[in-house]
Amino acid sequence: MGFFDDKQEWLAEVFAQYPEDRRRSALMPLLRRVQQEEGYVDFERMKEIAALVGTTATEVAGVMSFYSYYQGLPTGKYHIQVCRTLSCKLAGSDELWHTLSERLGILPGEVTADGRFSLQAVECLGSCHTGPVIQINDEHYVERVTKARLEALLEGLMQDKPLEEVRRSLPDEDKMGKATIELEGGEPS
Amino acid sequence: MPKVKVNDRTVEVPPGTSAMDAIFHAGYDVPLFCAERHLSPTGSCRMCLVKAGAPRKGPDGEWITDESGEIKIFWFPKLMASCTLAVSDGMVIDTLSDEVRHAQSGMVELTLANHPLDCPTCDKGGACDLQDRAYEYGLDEKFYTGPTGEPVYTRYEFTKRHVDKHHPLSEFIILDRERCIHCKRCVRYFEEIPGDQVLDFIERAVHTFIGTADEGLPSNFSGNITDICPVGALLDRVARFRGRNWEFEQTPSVSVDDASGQYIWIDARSGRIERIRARENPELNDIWISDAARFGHEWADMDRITTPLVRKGDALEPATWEEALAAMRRGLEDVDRTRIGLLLPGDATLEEGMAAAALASQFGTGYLDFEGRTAVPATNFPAATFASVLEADYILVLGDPTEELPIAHVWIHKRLRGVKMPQRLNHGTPVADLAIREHTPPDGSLLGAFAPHPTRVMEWAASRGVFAPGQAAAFLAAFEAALAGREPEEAAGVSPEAVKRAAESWKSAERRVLFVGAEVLMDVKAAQLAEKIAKSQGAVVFAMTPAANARGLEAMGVWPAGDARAPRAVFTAAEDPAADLLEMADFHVFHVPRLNDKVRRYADVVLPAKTPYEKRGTLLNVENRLVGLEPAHVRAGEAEGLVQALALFASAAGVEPPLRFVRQARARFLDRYKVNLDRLDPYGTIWRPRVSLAPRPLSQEGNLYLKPSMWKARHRLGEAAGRALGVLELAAHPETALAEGLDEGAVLEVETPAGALSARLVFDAGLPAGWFYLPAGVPAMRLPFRALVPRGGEAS
Amino acid sequence: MSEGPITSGHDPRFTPTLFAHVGKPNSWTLDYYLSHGGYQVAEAVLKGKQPDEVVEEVKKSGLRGRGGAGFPTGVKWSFMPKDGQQHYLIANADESEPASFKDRYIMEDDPHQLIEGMIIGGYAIAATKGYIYIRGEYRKAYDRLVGAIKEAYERGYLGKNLFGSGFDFDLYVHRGAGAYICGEETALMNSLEGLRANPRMKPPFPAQSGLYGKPTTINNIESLASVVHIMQRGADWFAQMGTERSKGTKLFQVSGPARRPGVYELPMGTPFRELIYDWAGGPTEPIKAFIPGGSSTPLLPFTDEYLDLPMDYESLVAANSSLGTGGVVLIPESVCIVDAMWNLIRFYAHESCGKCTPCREGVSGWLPQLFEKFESGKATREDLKTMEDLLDQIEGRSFCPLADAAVWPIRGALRHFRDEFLHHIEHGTCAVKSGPRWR
Repeated sequence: MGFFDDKQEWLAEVFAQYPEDRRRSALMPLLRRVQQEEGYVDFERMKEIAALVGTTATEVAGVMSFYSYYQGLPTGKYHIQVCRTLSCKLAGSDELWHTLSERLGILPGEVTADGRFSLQAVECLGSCHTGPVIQINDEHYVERVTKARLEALLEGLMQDKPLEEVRRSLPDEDKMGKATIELEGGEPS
Repeated sequence: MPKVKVNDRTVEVPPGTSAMDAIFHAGYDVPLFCAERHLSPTGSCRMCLVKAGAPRKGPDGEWITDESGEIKIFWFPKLMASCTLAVSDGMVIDTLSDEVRHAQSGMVELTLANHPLDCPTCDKGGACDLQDRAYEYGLDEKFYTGPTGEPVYTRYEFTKRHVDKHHPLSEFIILDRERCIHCKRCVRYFEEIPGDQVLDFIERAVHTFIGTADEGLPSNFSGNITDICPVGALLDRVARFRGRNWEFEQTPSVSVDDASGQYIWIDARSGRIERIRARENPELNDIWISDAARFGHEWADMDRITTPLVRKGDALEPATWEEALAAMRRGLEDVDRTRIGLLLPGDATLEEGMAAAALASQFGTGYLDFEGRTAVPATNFPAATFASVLEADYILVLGDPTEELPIAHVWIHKRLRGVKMPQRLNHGTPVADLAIREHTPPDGSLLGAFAPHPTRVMEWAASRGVFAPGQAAAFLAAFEAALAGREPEEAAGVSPEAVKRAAESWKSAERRVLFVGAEVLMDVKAAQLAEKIAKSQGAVVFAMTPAANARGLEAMGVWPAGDARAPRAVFTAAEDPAADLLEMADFHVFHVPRLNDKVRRYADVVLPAKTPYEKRGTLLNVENRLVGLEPAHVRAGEAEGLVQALALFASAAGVEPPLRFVRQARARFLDRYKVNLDRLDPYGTIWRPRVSLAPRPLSQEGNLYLKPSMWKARHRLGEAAGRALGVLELAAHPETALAEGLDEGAVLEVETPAGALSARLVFDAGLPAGWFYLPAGVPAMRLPFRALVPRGGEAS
Repeated sequence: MSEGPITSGHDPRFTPTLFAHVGKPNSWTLDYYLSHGGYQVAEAVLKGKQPDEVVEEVKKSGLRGRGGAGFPTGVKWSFMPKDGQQHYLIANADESEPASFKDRYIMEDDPHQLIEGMIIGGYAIAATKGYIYIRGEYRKAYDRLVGAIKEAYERGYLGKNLFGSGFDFDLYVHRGAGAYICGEETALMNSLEGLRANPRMKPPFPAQSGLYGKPTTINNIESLASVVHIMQRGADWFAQMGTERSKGTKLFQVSGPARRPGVYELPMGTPFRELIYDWAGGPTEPIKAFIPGGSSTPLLPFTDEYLDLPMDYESLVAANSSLGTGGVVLIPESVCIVDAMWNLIRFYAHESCGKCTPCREGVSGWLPQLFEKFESGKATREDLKTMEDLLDQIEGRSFCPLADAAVWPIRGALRHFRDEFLHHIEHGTCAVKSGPRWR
């Protein structure tokens, strides 16, 4: 059975966003839906999407591989994307990355034995003031991932608590997701 | 027209011309990799950077001047890629300054940064744009010096990108990803020319590479990417390692694989054809040819007959020409000359047709025919030129151009993308035509497509439909009714709405083009209806004949006469004559390049023939365009041309040969039609012969339908083509097949006039029920379906 | 302080408008928006003004595109033909420039402000369809936008015949999937059409042939939100803020080791010092350099000379840098500049689309290799010369500005911190020793 067979209503909604003769525009939303639900997009899904939007599997592969979000290989239940660009680096994202990689015992492209985790270094997530930042799957950011917050996060995920619940229970979460945050310590010079 | 100053020369070019073409037009050079004729300019390789500027008009409408009163040139702040810069009046372009040369040498350096520089083992070596441009524009001592002024030869002190070097994309094409310079010509080509998006960039940034997720590059036009690849990344796999570019003898000729007469180069080496490439003809095939024309040549070098053969008992034994002549004399001794049949191949040239027709009239025989002849002569239809497709307001297709006349597929796609005939400049076709836009989807409202099976062009058409084989006349009757404003009731399986829509578009168009395939041409009633519709509506027609030179042979009078009696002796230059003809006669002379089962079984004398690659001669293509074959150097023993073979046959029959040589035929042609076949126009000469021939119906019955295919039986003999094409596919609606007790995947022996062919059954719910489709033999033939299942595969 | 143009957030005449509601409880709901005067501007415009009047007002305000290039918004709108074709308005929410995160909060906390701006913009350019192209990672902003659009449709602020004016406007959100290049407007349109996001040739410009070949205008989120306030308070109100050629209120961002990193709405022309010290609370450790306007702008030394620069387009160009998106990054003394630049060049190397030679082979291929040599202590003086040659061959020669954006920060670093590069050549190590930064 095709992935989209039981999603006809959703498909119709997506296609309705674009002109009738431009079904190809739905290519990215369709890829995202597969990525969200299956953790990666395999060849059969690419062919299915190609047929739906009226192009070839080659074109789907070309588009899919262009963007960093879509994965061609299976990912873990929690696909952890760590921002590594300058502001996050200045907040210690390199150390965060190495810690995560060591703790989980995986490199990019790998999945932990329990199927829970996979890792990806990503470029600037647009949360430079709350670095280091990570994003899990297609969910809201986890900001200011300090050592303490990382511990709490991993602990929650190991227990497979709902992601949103884990995120909300992290220390200092009430300070995150704001346009401005105030840091502890360090006086203005 | 805008005046443009290129260095010291001022030229006038049409508005919208690219700066690059203005430079070439002025006789200067500018290096390039990504720009290519007929493809959209993209400005991606940055090799063609130039300094450019233009005057501006002030608020008073006058040119702004500088202090000295000269018109002031406002230079662009950056160097501009000349391929994507449109000229404007008064533009000034500098291609020679140090600033420009420095940038160009920099682009060469960057282009080579990850290129393996393995020219000594690269098939493109010696004919490589990258090599040439690197020599001409790369590494200039002026710009590359070390700290003490010594010249720097390389700065590549790092590991180059290592990726797949031998990546077969299909049986025909191999990709070296290290050599790729990402010009994107191939990707743009597939999207813009055939519209088959089977190749794309994968990944991005420096990791970008060319790849496919559609196995085997399914397209009838894949080979052209090997011609346009500016480096040795995409190579002809059939010709791989078969020779260096400077070793090939290059012969300009035309393809006889379909009725378009695509222009080709035959590259031969040591008496073998190693490679076929496209030869530019902007009026016919631009710089593109079909895969059959390119890769379908292998048979010409396989198992050739190199001497005459004469039957001794059960065997055909090598003989001298004198022995062959004597054998023919003996065989024809008691035969009434009016009972001699002459059969030509569909790609026999005009000259050969003229010789055969003259001989037939000398014999007084009415049995003169050619392989692939249609029931109704193609010359009944007013011919269209390919250029007229671009002017059409509506195109109606009854058939499958992609298979029957492949280059037409390209022209139709161009029309749907809104492409116009390019201007001709001093250097020919514009290299960077700014009128061509990337990512322009085809406009299906200009096209109606109908056929007895789904076709590739149908995927573009706004009006389309599939009717059952033999129902072309019924469909046309419905179409005619719709044209007359009547409600079409029964449209042969096609929805009345589609017929109405097509008829309305057709009516409201001013310039109409009609394509009719074998399905129509093999059916007298359908062809007459199509002719009537076309003529009454002032439409021009592509009669997509199975025979490459159908129009030419018809013009020469190669057509069975009304009173033809069953022949007692047969001279056939066709390789695969119908068995009933051979059965009728007692004596058979074959003039063929290769042996096959029929030759072995029936031939009394075999004369070694030249293949079309070895001939000098002329074809009249589907457009009424005379195009010339030139002989390539192929080792073929004592093979002789058809005119000579006919002359020998005439002598054997005791008559004076009316023509002995091609040049005699040409002289007669000049005399009779005032056209000199030795001096055709470079892109072919349009010649409109007056022909009047009566239809000759062919017997059509049964539920096996021979579907047109670009790939002919002889192509399948080649190793690469054979592998690429695999087993023949017998297609049927699942219900039809299951009703016969046949399941998908069953391998069958299907009986055809060419003998039993092995085919694998595939289901296709898009086909009309009750029919089996086989892409083999004479297209649109309908035969009784007789098949054996050798092993397994029956439906339970 | 009550005379002349407003160029400080301390000026009593200045009050934030774009960010007036960001951070307030339920600020993203339609009820909240309506209770603060929401959609009244759009209603007044659609009922009371001609599209040309809107374009003129925006021109007069001096609003310049807030996406980084600073092209006047009103002028951009005036390029749209009057031809009766389908026109499109696209909001560029692909905020992917490192150090920029301002648009995110408009979408998360005040999405109706953006919708209202798009209605006005759509009306001005006769576009009845709008798309918000949002970077895929902004999930929260996406959720809020989708919620807001749904609410707006339900209550008649989107759809047919808005405010009884006869103007229809449909709005859709399209998510990206991780590609910086999509911030380039023609690449964005390709992405929206389901293609690989390579930039397109210009001309034709989007106003002639944009999305689906139709006339299209692409504006930054902040620009569109600004339009609401310009139409409410008038072009003069907007133009009294800022400097001669850089007008209005703008969102500035501070990241790196500052006490209160974040987004601050200030008048154009506010000095860096005020932003960094008064608003962001100053650095938490010694700083040697700062990036003034997002990762693609050449970095500047953290000295009085540069801290006193007004944040406007012209002053920064004069200082060999650029205002960009207004994203300031503080670079501490303990961080090696070569290391920081390697981080950025790696970003651009990763984000290059691969279309053109100088960017693919230079930015994405060769430059990172050279930086690796510096990092590993193997670089020589020849390598430094090669790098500088390479920057010359890349800058101004690529197809789109992405390659320039990669070159500029290195140019700034070589101009002001050349000694740190030389230190790598001579000693094979960083000039500074950086300790752990993760807390």
